[in-house]
Amino acid sequence: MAQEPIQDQVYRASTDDPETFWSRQAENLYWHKKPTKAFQRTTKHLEKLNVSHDHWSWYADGEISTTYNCVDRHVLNGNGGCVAIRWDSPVTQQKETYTYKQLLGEVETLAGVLREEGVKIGDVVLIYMPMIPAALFAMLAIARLGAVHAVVFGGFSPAALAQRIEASRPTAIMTASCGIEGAKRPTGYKAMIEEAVQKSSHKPAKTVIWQRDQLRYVISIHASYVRYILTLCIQFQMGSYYEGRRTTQLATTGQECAKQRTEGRRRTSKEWRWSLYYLHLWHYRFTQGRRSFGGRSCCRPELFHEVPLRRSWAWRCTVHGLGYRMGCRPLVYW
Amino acid sequence: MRDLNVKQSLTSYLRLAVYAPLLVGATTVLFEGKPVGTPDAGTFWRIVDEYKVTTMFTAPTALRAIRRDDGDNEFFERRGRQGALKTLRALFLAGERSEPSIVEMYQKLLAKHCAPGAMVVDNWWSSESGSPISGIALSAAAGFDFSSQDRPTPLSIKPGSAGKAMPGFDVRVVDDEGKEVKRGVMGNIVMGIPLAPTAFTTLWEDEERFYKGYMKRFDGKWVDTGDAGMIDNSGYISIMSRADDVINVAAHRFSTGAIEQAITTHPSVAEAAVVGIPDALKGHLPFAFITLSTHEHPEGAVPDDKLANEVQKLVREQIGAIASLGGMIQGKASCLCTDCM
Repeated sequence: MAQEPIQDQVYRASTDDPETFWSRQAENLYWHKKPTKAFQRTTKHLEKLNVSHDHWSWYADGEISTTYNCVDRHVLNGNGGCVAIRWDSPVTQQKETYTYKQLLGEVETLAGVLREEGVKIGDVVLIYMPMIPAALFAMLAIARLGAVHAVVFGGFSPAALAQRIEASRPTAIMTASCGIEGAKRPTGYKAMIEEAVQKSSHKPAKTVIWQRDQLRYVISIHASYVRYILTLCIQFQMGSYYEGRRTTQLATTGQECAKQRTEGRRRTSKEWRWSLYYLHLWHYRFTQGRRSFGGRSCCRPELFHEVPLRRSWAWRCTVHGLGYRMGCRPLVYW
Repeated sequence: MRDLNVKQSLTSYLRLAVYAPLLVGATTVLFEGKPVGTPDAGTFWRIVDEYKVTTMFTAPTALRAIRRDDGDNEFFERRGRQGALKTLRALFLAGERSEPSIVEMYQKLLAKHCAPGAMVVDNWWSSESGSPISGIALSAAAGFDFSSQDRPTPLSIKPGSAGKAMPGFDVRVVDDEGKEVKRGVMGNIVMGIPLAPTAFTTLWEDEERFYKGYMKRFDGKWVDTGDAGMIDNSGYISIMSRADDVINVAAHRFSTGAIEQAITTHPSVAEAAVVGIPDALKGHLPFAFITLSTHEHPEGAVPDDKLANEVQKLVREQIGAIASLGGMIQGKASCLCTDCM
């Protein structure tokens, strides 16, 4: 009899004995506190509905940092010189390259800024950004603080953005001054953010902006919503950039960043002891499916606040675990 | 509104693109542009060439957009002939169903110009799953030993199928009562508990909605995916449509995906979307929206008789006369909103 293909063997191992299989997979990651057990079957009771259903949990007592595993670990292992991100932007005629070491620097700095702005463990930070490296820094920095990131694609309408702000109640919004869709002119995000915040009953305390040269985000202090927003303009690529009256904060932010960097280095084991969660907001579920055009699609408003919450540790276990092996090789995504 | 859906899927990919390559210490190429028009339909292949890309992840809608602008794959062929695409080992497709015609076309191109054994891998996942639920593993040996350098020959692909279940996902096909159906029969795609560790375990601050939206339909026994499809005898999963995309024509149930698949076997059709339009007699009639893969796109919205008849014939042959189209409209843009690209 022919030997069973390895993919089938791996699959069978995962379903026959999840505990052993996923414990072994977990060994491929760095845990700030190793889980004593991988899998647990539980029962969930819902009082409001008076029903109970079977449920499960993974790595219940483990503690792990996604950012540490994605970035720091490689630098500490001597791979800081490997390229982490290549950015190719035909719409702006720009290209950039970041090594793991540079990426760590960006993420540490930005995490310091966010912490200074009051982002804490468990807070939600909403990302509304185009496809630029800063969007990745934002995700990793938010995760580093043990906060939750809610990604909304840059370019969503103010109404759609407002719904997501209301649903996730973010402490801060991270955005950019503009997005560029194909050959069209840059779309300013300022008006979109302002209108969305105005429409939403929840007012995020802070907006952190990545200034792009193609179209800058000019802060208008006369806008009616300004009392709700303390808009903070940061060009985190080139140090800190402030407009108008926020210049006094420049110095403090600079200092805090430097502090964060040193603290990050010194207190590694303690600093990252957070269970990381992230959430994914998506509001529309189409009853009529994905291949539909305009009139046919409709959304299920009852699922409006759907936000699955999941442990974010696990990419590697499945992605690499079943052989999406990328080594030090590039991956393009669209 | 498919664009929104694609974007939603892309939100998942954004995480895939950030966390997965970084976790393994790879390089991720972040692209700010579109598959066509920035500046042309060759931009993806320029990137593969320039950055020596080994694995590319995209949505079939991007490939369809390229096919619409570059029907003869001149851009791909030109770079391929120069030997510039030899690094590419796999083209992963996700975000929506990949019809066999697009998979087969790119599989031929990959075999001709890319790394030995290069594959088009359709894989299926959702926001809820957090990682692929089904697919084909390129280095499956890593599932047992992470540092393994062995590269056993991967399972073969079956165009139209999104591969086999990935570790930790117990995928089943059941009828409306939750009873498993025979292999090869279409039904509701569900998953047994537990889901793999990447998957969600609840909804944000809403345990009740998690139960109502995913667990209640099959009484807590299965997690509902909302997708409809089938699993064949060797365990390959085909996702045909959203469960509510199944249309009822004269008491026959058809997945719109299967009809779209038949339409796209026509060489002049780049993309197809089928919807059910109400019909007093039959309940529903399938109605198709198509875009053409020709260089010159005609102005009119009604396809010429020759094309209409040919497409109708394909549907009759591949699905059955009962699924004959109730109408067809052709357009220039694949998506009503170009933002999706």
